[in-house]
Amino acid sequence: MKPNFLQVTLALTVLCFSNLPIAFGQTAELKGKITLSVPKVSQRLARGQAYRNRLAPEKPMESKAMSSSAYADVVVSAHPISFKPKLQPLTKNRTIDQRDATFIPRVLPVTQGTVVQFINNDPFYHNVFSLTPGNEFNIGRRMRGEVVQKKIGERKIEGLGEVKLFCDIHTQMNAVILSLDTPYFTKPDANGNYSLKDLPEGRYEVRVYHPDLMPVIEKMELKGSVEKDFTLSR
Amino acid sequence: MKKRILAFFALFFTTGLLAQSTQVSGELDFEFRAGGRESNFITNEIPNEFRYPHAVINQFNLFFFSELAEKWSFNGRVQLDIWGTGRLNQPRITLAAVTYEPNTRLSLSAGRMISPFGLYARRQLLSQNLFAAAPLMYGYFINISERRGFWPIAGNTGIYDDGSSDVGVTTAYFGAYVTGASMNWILVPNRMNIEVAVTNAALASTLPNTNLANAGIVGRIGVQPAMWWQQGFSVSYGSFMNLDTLNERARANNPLEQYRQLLIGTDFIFAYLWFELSGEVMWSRWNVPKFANGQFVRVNAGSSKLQEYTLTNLGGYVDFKIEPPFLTGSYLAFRAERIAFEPFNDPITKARTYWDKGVTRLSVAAGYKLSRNVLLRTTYSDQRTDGDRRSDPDDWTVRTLLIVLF
Repeated sequence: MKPNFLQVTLALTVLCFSNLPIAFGQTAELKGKITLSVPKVSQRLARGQAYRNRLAPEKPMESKAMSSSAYADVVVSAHPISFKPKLQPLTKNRTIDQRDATFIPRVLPVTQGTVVQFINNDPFYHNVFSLTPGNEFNIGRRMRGEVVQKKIGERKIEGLGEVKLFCDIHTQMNAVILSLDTPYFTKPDANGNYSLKDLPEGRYEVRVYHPDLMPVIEKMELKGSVEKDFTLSR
Repeated sequence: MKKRILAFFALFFTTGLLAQSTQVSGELDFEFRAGGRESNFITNEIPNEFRYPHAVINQFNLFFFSELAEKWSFNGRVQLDIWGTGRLNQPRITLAAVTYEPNTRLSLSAGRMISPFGLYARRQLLSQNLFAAAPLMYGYFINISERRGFWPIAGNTGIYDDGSSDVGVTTAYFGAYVTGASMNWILVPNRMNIEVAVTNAALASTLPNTNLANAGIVGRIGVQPAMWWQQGFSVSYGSFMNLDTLNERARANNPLEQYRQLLIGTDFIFAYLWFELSGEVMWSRWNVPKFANGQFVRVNAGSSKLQEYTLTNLGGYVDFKIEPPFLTGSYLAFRAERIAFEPFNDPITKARTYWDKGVTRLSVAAGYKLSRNVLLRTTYSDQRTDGDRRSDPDDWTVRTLLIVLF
């Protein structure tokens, strides 16, 4: 059956006023460089560290996460203002690994409702808990290799969408799941360069996040290729 | 004391400036508490005059950690508390130890440090203790005095004074800190370690220093057969008495260093998911003189030799903790504990008698994390001395703590 004139007109109207940029394939790119005012944020040791378990070394172990890029904990996200993006949980489960008494990665950006799995890869216990309102959970002590899944951000999280994670056994361990209301986000490379491609043109709130530094939030019009550098400081 | 604290800070910050990194953190413990009619600091940690409901600052701690060099670090703790009298004491240095780690499996420490013996030594901060009080073997003072030795009148068979004059008695295991040098050797990471410390006194010593040629040795073997099971075996042996005008004359023919304490214990943690069962048992043997009727007991009337007594006691506790998964940040805990005194053979009367009455204590606790660094906990304890009638409202305590970490 061929669509009649009224149906075609309605369809075009919807396209024009809702997802106009997407409909016509007009996309933008936001790219630039992130600068951290603090080269590398030192890991804070456990409070009263001397009271820890004696089966492990005195000082916290150097982990892959601790020695990786200083930009590994930075997330750049673009939140559309002029249109409502289609938001879906990430289909592939995201993983937070516990290794060498560290969460890896320390910052995990996901879209709301994504299932995040936790795996303890240390030969000793961890206990992952979150006290973020609306996203409270405690997975308890889990054996090595045991996978526990949690759906993140089913209820909207105020502010930047931080779900803060801690370990009750190793007080120096902390991580953040960023539960985002946008599908447009990325992490910079090892040199701090970032690029958000295929953004529908429009007005956005761009956020640059690091758990230990003040976030940068800027509203901007994105059309074509836009270059923008950000500096994060305490 | 003030000079000592100032010297500590000066040393810390001088070394800290030179160090690669220096970290300071702290813990403040507010408390609202009340105790039963027969409350006494040396039995249930609440001085009798403060048994009525009241609010206090229980402890204020500052922790220092400094990486002095690649393999050298410093750990310190300065503490203000109401220990003993219920009134705020002068600040004191609880922990001040330098550690050298030639590799990840070996560490050597010197100074004032946490005792290797047992489990509670690592849980004594109020933020890490599930309850408010120390276990009986750590917090219940028995009738052994560092100045007098076995002092029967100080026990449950005698009468405690009002606490204004120091009776000098001690606990089976005091304070969980030692002064000396220690080694922690991790034989198999996360499986087995051995800790040994050479100290200036046995674990019953209440003082960080000693005015006698006292010495002690403490050791613990820790094993983790499975992730859900940790077990420790500890031993300590050493002299613990202190020189005082009271024992100065007796010392001439009886070196006080010969009186010693042997402490043997085992501790365990079984844990899985939201449950934890932990505890420890320890047995103590004392070789001590006896002080009765205002004087030391001698071998016979004309002798200058003091009669030595061999006394033993046994104590232990079991903690059960559950973290309800439906109420994140909360926990419930239950503790059952007992300290018992075994009968001894009196070498003079030849009679076999008990040297004190046993005590049983039951405690419950509920805690909740208001935020990551703010904990709220309330506990109730009731303890009974053997022979007490059930209706005696004596040594119960209610303690609510607000613990702030920074």
